Amino acid sequence: MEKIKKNGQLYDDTLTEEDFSPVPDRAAIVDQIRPSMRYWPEVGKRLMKNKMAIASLTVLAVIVLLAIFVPIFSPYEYDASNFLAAKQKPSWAHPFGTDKVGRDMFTRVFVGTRTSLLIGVIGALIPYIIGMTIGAISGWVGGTVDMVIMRVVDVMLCIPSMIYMILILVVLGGSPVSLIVALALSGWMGSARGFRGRILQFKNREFVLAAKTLGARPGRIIIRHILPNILGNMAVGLCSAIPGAIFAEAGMSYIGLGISPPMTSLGQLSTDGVAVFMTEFHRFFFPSLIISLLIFALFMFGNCLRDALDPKLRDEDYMARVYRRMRKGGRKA
Amino acid sequence: MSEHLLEVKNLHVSFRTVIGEVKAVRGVDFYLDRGETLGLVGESGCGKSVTVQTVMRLNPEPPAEIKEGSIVYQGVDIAKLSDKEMRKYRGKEFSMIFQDAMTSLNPTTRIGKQMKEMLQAHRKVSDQEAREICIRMLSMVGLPNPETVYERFPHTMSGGQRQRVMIAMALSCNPSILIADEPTTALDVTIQAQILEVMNNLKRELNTSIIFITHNMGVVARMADRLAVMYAGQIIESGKSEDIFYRPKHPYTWGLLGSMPSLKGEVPKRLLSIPGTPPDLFAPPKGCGFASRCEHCMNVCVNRVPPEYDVGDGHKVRCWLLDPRCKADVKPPIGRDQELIPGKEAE
Amino acid sequence: MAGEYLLQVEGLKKYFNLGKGRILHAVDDVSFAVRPGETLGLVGESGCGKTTVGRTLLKLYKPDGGRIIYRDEDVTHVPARRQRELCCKMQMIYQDPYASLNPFMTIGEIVSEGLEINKIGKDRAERQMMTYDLLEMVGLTKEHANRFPHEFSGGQRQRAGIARALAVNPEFVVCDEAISALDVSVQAQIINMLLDLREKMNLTYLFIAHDLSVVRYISQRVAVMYLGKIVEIGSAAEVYAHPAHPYTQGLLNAVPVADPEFEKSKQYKAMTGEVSSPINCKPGCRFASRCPRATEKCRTEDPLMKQVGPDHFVACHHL
Repeated sequence: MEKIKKNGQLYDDTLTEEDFSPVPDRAAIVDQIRPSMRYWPEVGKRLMKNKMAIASLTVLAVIVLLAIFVPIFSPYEYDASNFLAAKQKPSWAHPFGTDKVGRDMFTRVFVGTRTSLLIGVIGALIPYIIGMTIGAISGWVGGTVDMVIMRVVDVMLCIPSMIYMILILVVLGGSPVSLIVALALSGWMGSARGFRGRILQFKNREFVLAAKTLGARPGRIIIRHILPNILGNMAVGLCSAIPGAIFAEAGMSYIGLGISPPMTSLGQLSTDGVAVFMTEFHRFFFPSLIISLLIFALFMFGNCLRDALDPKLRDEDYMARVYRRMRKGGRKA
Repeated sequence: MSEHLLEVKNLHVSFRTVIGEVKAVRGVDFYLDRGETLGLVGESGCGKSVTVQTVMRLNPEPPAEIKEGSIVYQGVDIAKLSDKEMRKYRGKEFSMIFQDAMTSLNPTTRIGKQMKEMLQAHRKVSDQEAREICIRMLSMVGLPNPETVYERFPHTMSGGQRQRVMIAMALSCNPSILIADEPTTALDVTIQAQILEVMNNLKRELNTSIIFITHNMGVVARMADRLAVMYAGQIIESGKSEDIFYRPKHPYTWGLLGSMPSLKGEVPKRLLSIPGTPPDLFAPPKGCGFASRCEHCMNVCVNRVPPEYDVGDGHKVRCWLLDPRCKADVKPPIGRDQELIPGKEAE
Repeated sequence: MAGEYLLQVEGLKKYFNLGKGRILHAVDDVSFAVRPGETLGLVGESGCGKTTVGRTLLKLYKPDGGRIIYRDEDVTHVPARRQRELCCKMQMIYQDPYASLNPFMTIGEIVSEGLEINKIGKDRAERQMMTYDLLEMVGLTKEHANRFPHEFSGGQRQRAGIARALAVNPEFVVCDEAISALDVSVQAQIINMLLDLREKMNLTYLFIAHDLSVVRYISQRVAVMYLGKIVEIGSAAEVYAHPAHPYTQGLLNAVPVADPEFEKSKQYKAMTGEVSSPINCKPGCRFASRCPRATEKCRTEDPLMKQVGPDHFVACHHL
């Protein structure tokens, strides 16, 4: 190739012959791969950077620990009445005071928290799993099966869930188990519908088709390929379903269909507190405080998790995304 | 010095992102004369779209930032204008058409209304006149029954028709520069051929200058008078279309031309391919952007950005191989009108 | 003739019900045959049904008519178990390297999945060795096995997709627009690699693409599709040198060539009109609405395949 001099001068006289010899080790300068980022550790890292997430997680942890350990180490039994110590205001002996039969409110509140948490988690998880299974079948099989299931869901969603719950609790009586059954039967429709949508969204993705062409069975495809992709969203959904279940229990307690005494729950304690709101404020205040903190923390954590899951840095080439965003911004202008 | 319609000098554009600064355009020079078509070619992410969007000042600033350089249009440095001043130029002096005509048109408004609004934003014309101009433009881009098209909604039209509407809209204010950002990439070849014909005809009739961005060498061969090849945010070779196609000097241009099989001539035994992938512009290479993929890479290529060597007739190349001190005698593997590597002819 | 063809497709049909009585005739009476070791290119514009043909062959869609014969065995409707066995014979390379790899699996897991499902290799360790070999075969290294797809460029992902398809040691591979989502400089790498692998593993390709020049480069025979039908099929040299169907002629004429002098002197006979809809098709040549030679007969009567040369068939009334 002919060589060029600009105006008879070289551009830069400091270059030597050495500079113009071929690179000795070409492999050394070949472009590097981007640093490895695993999905869940990355989500964790982002979550830990969020102050709100840390705060809500701390509140949740404190409440859960108290719910576990207070009933174990408390000197009082939650159902042991002591008429000598009835209707006491908060003191060192009884931090949350006592009720009209002298039961220690501190112990009772955290026994109640235990019940509420248990009902909340199990009562959210079970309908979720039922809904997922039904939704998966509906979305994957499609056709008539899908049609029938979705119409059933539609019809069931039309009837207020309160009606099922009252019906079931009246028949089965107020116990944690019957509450969970009631929650499960009234709550699966929403998650079935959501999960069906997710399955439909991924059913014709190329990586799912590729697994199909490799001979994978539906179970494998759903568990190995679709589930990991929607796990994050499911976790967020679950975080907001738990407060729902706790509230439902509280609501049932309020109309007298919840947990029956001497067993207790946060909902039931606050309901009792409402009756003596004017005279024994502490009996209303503490259970309500715990239930509010619990639900607020769960919602906040769910929100933070959603932010952390935002797959901004994942799924596709980051540069492509940056450029696409720039182009989109450009169009708006 | 001769006056060019548009002259971009030493343009540097960066984007601030969460994880650092992307140096998307790193020192781009080009010019555009009246009535000519400049083809800007390169792979995705090479900075060609960012360059022209900067000329239109379409990139929101921030995150985008013009670090350095000037964009001179008729004596005015556009790079320094405020957004408000820029509005006078956009649409009236410069127009742009995009790859995806669907998202560029408002789906809830009739074609005619969108065109009319755009026209009346820049020119003082009555509704009746505006309608006449729009319908004339629609028929000029080859849409049958322009009156009915005027009343239609974008979603009732095919991709090719929508792209024609976009062209009609872009040209309705009679801009002096039309920027076409991959306008035919999303279209089928037969529709692409129609659109390219429309653009070529309109260019002749209205004497518009076009900057045509694409990654398809065939399309630029049909459209462009001059060509600029971009790689990793820099123009690595530019010149007359014939010079670039028949006498390419930069190893990347060889790769680009040799990597696509042609419909014409013998079927080659093997395609020229470039190993590796383009560099990450978060940390652009110190020297030549192409060094890590170039088979003729020298020490200097890794450490210093090559200057622009003028091969004659406005054909400029950024490659150290052209330096007189470079002893390596590299024969180009491709190009009709140059001494080729024996037995390595690709076309 | 028995044994001459690896795959024969006779009158394949695939319709999609869009509801409200609208039926999309995606693939309508398509017949072709592929000899072992050859590459058949299937070209056509978007929406012509070429991808549906590929997917129906692999039973990702249930065919609505016609027969698929693989090595003299009618595999149109086979029990699920036999279908899974066939998965090891017929594989597919997908278009979008971003969508075709599960973002939650490592490259190693993705490539070895086929081995695991089909119980190839006697244990985990052996499968891992096989995975490394496959990665090396497509130009990746075993260090890549523990990385996730988003850490790779488009070309590298497509290599992983190819390794996944070849893991089960197939004979017949459908390349569904396997290179069209890649950058120009990377396309050539992948094309060269597909050609090398064809030699090395004795593969037969059905190469689906819209890029006519790539198809010309890679295929021995070519089929041109238009709105669910094959309009012209024959040896690549014949079809490209002497296109007989007006659509093929228009298509070839429309492709820009990277040669400015040739391009600027070329006369364009731009095809007029818009593609007609494949929904609820009426009888008659599908191309009639855009064809310069269309007559009354074209609009009412389906053209049949006619032989116009050795290994060159065209469906047009005007020959």
